[in-house]
Amino acid sequence: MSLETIVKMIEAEFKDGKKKQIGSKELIKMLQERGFEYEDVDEALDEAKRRKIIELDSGFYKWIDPSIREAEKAKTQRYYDMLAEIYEGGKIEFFTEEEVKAALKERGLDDEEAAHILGIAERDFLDFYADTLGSTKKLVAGCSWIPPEERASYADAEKESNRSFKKWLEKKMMQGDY
Amino acid sequence: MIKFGNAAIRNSYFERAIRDDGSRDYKRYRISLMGAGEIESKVKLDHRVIINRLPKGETTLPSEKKETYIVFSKHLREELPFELRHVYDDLVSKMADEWVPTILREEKEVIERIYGVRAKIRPHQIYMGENGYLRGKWEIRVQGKEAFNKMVKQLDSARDEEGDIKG
Repeated sequence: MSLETIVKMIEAEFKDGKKKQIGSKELIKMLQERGFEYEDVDEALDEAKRRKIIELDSGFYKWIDPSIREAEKAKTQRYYDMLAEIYEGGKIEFFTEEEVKAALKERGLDDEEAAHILGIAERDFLDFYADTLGSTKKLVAGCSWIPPEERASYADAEKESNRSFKKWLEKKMMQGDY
Repeated sequence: MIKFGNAAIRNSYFERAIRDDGSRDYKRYRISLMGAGEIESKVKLDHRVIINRLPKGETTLPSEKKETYIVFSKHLREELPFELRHVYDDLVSKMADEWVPTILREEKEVIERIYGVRAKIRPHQIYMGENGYLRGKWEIRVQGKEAFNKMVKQLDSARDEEGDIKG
């Protein structure tokens, strides 16, 4: 079944907003029991969040009323615009996470909002990894801007990477390496 | 990890390692090499508390035994109540730097040196083995058309020399 099918199932669980929230584990388990793999469920939940059908908060997926979804999308776009400004449209390749958070805070956001934005941005906008800085060889956690024309390809690659990681894990366990 | 030997030997090592524990994605210009290491001795009690709370994927082995794993992402912190989120941030931060196994750090450095490309390390998963024993999994990644082509060309030369392709 397609991603679209799972997203519609997620939406249907909220019964047009009559149900305001569902526990995250409960929702995931329910979808897995219908035969979907964890990775597909995770991807569909991401898509439902992207469309502002639901949001995740403190372990619960909460229904977003359709009347405010466009405003929520606009808010996310403003966050993306802030990040674009921080990265100067891609001219700056790498920032540590602390540097990005500090730059967001300079723009009036608090710690929690800054962390929330990084969470949203990870879906489509920023590539998180660790790299060595300078001559110290010390690894530092940070993120790079993903150019708009490469975002679809990044998302596909991440999906593929998760799947191949799962296969690798199974292979290792079968070989008795774990 | 190969610490000694000339460039050709190291190239052969990585060609084999990527074949066994990695992948080449020609469509998206990405080379991955996966690695794992124990984190059981490193996690603190509060880390374990949140690991237990987070939703997990599950994989079933041919033996029917089920194993669970957490796929890292920033948004997972929002699974947690506000007062526990700093613990998740700390866990992610330690996975990204302090806890990266030495072998992976060395492989990253050697890849950068012998292929002249930039390699990134990404914390990927926490895997819960038997009796809740914890292991971390990381990915060394080289991406971008230029870096991909540069590295693939050298990797293929190792296969050519071994006779795998032309053989």
